[in-house]
Amino acid sequence: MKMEKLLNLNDMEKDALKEIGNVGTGNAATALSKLLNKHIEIIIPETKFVPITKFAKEFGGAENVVVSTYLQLLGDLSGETLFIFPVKSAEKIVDLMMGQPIGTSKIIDEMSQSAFKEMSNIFTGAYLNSMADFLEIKILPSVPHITTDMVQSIMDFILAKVSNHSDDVLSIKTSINIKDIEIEGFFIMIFDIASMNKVLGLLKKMYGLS
Amino acid sequence: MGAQEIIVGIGGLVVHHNPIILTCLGLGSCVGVALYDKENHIGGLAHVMLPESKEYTGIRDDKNSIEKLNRYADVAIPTMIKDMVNIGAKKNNIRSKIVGGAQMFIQINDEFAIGKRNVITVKKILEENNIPIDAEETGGSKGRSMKFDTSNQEITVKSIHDEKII
Repeated sequence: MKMEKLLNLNDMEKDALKEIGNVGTGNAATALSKLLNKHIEIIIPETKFVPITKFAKEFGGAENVVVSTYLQLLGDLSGETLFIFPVKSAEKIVDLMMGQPIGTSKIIDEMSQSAFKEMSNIFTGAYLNSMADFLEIKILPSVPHITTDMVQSIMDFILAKVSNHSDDVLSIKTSINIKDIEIEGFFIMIFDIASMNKVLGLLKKMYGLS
Repeated sequence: MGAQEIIVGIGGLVVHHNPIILTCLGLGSCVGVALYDKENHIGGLAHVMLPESKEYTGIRDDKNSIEKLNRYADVAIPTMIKDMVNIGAKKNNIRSKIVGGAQMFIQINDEFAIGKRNVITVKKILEENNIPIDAEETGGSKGRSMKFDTSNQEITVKSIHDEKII
């Protein structure tokens, strides 16, 4: 069964998956840096399996309140992406975008939400464009959707989809930091199984691994 | 001092004698199904993720045999009833309260509509087992945490905006 192969991902396959994360983040960091006029520090994407029951722990625990934008991936690959930012960090991003003093905006404002969605769009667009170019495929992000709530409640519908075929979730997780004003957040991408296998196939062909 | 508290993790279930607090944290599309037999002082809570186990397409080994897939409503509820009866509950006494089944990103036209389907299926399975629903706090677009106090069958439902007891 395909799933078995995926669960026993070898080191070479893991490295290959990491590589697509690297390709995307470089470009996305540049785009975000231009947008916010700040140096963005991005931690090398982590590609790993985490038990579904433990996934919320990676983001401060089940009840941690965060601002999150959700975009669905369509086209040659299907999957989902989530931005996860603590409320304070999200509000600082909006302040930077609007050129106003840090501490001005409140994420409950519609204006702030649009600004945050716009940031998500720009980052995801840049990320996916370079990934699609690299793999020579077409990936289309949906429009972004935003909410503020407990992190477990935000992601449980995605975990539910994954748990229909696995006990573990495989995510490509990128940490986004702006050190001087203490902004921290995450961008995560989760593919469905068919798409993950497609990506692995493309990468193997590219590197002559098959 | 208050009763001991057990957190019921995503896809898990716990049954226990009173007094005990059974808790689900951050329910979005998931549904917390609380069952209780007042007379015999027994309660249970399941943190249901999905409606029906026939949808499962993963590996079925010892760990993931269908009867252990408590993430599904059609497995979790009958299992919880059986476990409660095993520690002294009477099936005819069992009643329920349910919480969760939200759609967190309301704008999405989601064919998967998991929150809604979870609530519908949970209700169907409770009905098939002749278990009345005393109260529910379901649907909408907000996350919820629930604390189920088995000694008085009260559930405190907390969102990031408010708190109520059902």
